[in-house]
Amino acid sequence: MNPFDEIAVEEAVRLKEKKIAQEIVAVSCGPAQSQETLRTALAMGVDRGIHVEVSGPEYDTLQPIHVSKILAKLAQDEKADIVIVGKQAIDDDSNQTAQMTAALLDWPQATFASKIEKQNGELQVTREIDGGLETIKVKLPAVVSADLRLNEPRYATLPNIMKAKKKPIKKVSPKDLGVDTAARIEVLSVEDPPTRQAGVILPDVDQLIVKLKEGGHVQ
Amino acid sequence: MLRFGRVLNLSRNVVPFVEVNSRGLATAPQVARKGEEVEKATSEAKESQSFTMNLFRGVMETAQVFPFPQVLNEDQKDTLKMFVDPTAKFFEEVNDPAKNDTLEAVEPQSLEGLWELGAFGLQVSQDLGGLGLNNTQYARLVEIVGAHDLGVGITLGAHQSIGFKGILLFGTPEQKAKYLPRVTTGKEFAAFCLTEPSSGSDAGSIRSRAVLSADGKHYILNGSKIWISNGGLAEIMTVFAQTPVLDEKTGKEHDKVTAFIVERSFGGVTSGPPEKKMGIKASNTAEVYYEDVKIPVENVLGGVGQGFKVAMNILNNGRFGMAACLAGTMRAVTRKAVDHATTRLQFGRRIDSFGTIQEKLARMSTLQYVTESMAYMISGNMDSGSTDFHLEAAISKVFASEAAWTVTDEAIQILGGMGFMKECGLERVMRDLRIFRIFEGTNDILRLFVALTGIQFAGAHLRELQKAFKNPAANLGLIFGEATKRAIRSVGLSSPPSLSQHVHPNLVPAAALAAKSIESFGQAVEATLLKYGRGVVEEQFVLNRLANAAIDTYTMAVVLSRATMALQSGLPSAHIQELMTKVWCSEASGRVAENLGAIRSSQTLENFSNLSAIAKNVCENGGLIHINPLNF
Repeated sequence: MNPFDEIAVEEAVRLKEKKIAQEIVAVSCGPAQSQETLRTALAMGVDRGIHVEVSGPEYDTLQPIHVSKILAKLAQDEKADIVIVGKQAIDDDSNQTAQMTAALLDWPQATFASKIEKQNGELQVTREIDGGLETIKVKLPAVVSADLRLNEPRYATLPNIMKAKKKPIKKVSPKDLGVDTAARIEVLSVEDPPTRQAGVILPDVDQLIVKLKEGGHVQ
Repeated sequence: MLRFGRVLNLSRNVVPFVEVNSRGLATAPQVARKGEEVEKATSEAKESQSFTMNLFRGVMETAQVFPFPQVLNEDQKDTLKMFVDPTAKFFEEVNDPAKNDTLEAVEPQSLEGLWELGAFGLQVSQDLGGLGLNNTQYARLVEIVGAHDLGVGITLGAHQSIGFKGILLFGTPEQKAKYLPRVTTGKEFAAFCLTEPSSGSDAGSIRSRAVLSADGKHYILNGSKIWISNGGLAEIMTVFAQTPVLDEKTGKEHDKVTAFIVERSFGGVTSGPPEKKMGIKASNTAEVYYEDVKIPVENVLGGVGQGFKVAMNILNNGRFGMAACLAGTMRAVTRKAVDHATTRLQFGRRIDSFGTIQEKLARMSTLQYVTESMAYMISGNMDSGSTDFHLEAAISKVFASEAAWTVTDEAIQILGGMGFMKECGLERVMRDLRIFRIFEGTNDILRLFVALTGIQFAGAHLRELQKAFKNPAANLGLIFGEATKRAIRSVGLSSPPSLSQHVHPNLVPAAALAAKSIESFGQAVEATLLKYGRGVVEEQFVLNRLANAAIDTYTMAVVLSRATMALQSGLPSAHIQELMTKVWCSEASGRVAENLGAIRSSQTLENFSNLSAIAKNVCENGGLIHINPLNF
């Protein structure tokens, strides 16, 4: 499971343990292996899973825009109050799904959450931003994305894994949800970064200035 | 009748006329237990499904060996697969074996994590707080533990493999309902308390005593136990003590061992400080003292006077676990050696290009393969409902503990100086492994157990034959069959039992070697009985060689079976499994021939008697008699 999603699942389970959340539904879009990811979520304490089956070439071109549409539709169908996701996936680092989902639903968003508290029917979320921490209030329903320091996910225990086997996983397809998964982006090329050139060891600062001037790095 | 007599005279092995007193032999396998009433040998030869038992008769019983048992259904496999990753993850990320070793205790967060993980109740049924795993599933998880931390392995094993196993095997429904939840979700530790200062291998000679109180409601226990794993932690203990029992036949009272479930909270139970050990330092080992402990009579486990049987069954039942655990250890240790051998350059080349290193790595791989195959074969037999696995379990414990020691030793050698350094982690594994040849039945006792139990079984069958001769008219069929068999054998016309129909075509030659070993076994055992009769009990030099030959033969059958399965399923590793099996059978069959030949060779027997004399002198002298070449 994507580490940030794991943190999101952990937070959801904690919300349920604090009796703030009533039911947790985990969603995974992908091929058959997604079921195993869902089982891990179920073992952590999620109540039921939805597997949106996407495989083969369709899966290769799946983008955040498609996933957001899927999540938005499911959030409406399931009458969810909170959609919580990891801030980004560690394979593409897109950091788009939470934002797009919120926009599609026209819900407020609280991204890069490092702390979530419920106060009077609203969520108070502390966000990690470049300048430090920002605390905002969002009305429910809302979309939240989990950042690294939100929590430390629990380890799945073997008894919970056994219990998870009995929890239901519903299978649907993007088409069932009215989502067109045709590719919106065409990948033109993928290249390795240039190999690092060897450095030079210089005897003193004067030499350094000479070299820098030669390279046109200083005037 | 005359013709019949001539046929008999032709064959050299005329065993029927030797007085084989199998009642005497009955005391033999139970060498360790004086003063304990011995199970009387039945006068009828029992049948057994055990490969090893039948080996001693020269009979090839393959029911439990071919095909390789595959006992998990799809659901059990799925569940197990789901368990493997979280368990491995816990041992890689949470448990710190080096820290545990330095602390000489399992770190508290690790211990707590293990309870949460469910690791302490793997084989308890789900409704009583466990995971309900069968033996094969247990073996798979215990492999992971062995690969990472043997100290934790013993903490877990002392708790469930022996600590409360008696309750699983012999407990009444009330005892199970009361205690199993406590040792799983209740997080109370369990321990197996048998050994005493004057009773180790000789378990029947324990001195702790439990006497029935006047009102008949309690047993009052007094005694002390040493080297009890989890002794300092356990709340629930399986304790063995002598109880006075009335012999109905003689009307006399004598002591018999009884097993009890004892709670520390009964009062009078104290434990000593943790022992300082060579290895498995993280595991708690302590003395436990019982002073006027009141045990309710409902806590007798398995019946009054049945303690010895309870103890032996508990140990037998858990033995395959050790083989599985050590297979995991060997896998991890070999990985380290391979990592090093494939990167280290000396003399301008990778050291794995040198034959010396190749031989080490190949033997390490093969020893691991044999051990692992045995562990799963035995667990598979047990899960299929077999009750005839005790010799195989003993063999697997002996083999696994010695193989793991050799493999780790060689891994350290391959790593050179680095292998000796604490940081590398191998020295800790080496220190941890030493105890495995000692506890849960020393390898020395287990070898004698295998040899003598096998001989007793063979002897009982021969006695049947002998009885048949007392009444030949009624038993002509048996006698003719036997005589013909021996006559044919003595003129060299016999064809050995064949394994070729059980194995893949590629393995037929290797299987023929194994079959030859099986055949020569029967003759060797008969000759031994012929020579020593019931006195064979005292011939440990001979018994040890028979045991080693039995181990070599059983392991040959095991790998032939597993490699056949691999070849038939077309596994990617099938070819390598085939190679390891071929080498193993070639070398093992050579050792069998050597061992079985040795016990009939006068040169070897002279060596044995010289060795005995040397030992006697060294002991009388309190040490070595010779000084040094300078004589001062």
